[in-house]
Amino acid sequence: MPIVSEKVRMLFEERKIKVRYDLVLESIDLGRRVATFKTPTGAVETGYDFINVIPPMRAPDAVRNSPLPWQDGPWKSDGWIEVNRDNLRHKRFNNVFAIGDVAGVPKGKTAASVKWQVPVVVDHLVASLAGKESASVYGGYTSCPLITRLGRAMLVEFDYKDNLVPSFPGVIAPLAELWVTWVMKTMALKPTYLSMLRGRA
Amino acid sequence: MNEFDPLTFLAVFEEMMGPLLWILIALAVVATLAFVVLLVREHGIVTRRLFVSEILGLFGGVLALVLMAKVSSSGFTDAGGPADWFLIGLVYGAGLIGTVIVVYAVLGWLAPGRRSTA
Repeated sequence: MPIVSEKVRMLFEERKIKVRYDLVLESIDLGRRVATFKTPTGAVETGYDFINVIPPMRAPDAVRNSPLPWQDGPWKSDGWIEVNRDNLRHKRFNNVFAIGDVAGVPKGKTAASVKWQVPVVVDHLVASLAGKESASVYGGYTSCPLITRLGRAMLVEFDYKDNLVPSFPGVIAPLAELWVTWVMKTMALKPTYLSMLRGRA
Repeated sequence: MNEFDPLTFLAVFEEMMGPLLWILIALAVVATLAFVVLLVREHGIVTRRLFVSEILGLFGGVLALVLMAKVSSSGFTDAGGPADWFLIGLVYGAGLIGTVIVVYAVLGWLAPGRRSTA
């Protein structure tokens, strides 16, 4: 997401946080507290006091070991379901749809995306049952409150085209570090997830 | 936000606060009713009582902000833009108005003998 990346770069610079890109973690020596990274110029060892490693994400086994995942392309190895990114319908199995994390689309692994995806899928399902076509389209909407410090966060919302799509234009600016976004994130997000799981939100 | 559905908000707030939500709503409804009934019975506002309620209301607003800071693990000093100031105003205002109504109603119902005819 180029415009957010640029904003974060500015924040890092302002706070004198050093950033190093193009490092891929290869191995980690817990005893010595040394991480080894693959870089374009060869392996690099770096000592650490604290390390936060995000493991590669992939679809659950039940999906990966089924005919549903992408058969080629960037998502083949992760096992995400091969759906049309606009209507979330499976490209090979007409009666299969995917929403949320398991859907093999460029963006959309958030609860906010699911909230946008569900009405589109429902519309297509209902139309199919009635023997009609639906024109409903999911534009790749996703949202992530990006915490920038304790007490403040940015409400970043964007779509497939990397366009910013603010829900509250003029009130909550997408690249502004705000307390209201922090409040939303800390107080309302988990209850929202839970009410979504209960089918109430 | 995809759409503003009041029921969605209710569900989220219920998830957030549990039974406390209903206690607070009940308190607000009862206090407002008690306030309105007082107004009708006394044919208007009792200035002296309103003044006391408003003074306490100022502290009620502060209490609301302190509570908000506590539950959000942050504080109004983290405000970074107009939307934040608006939320602070909203929280303070809710605390102030809520306290004024509750205090006015409680004082009015506890001291019926001091009812004003003005």
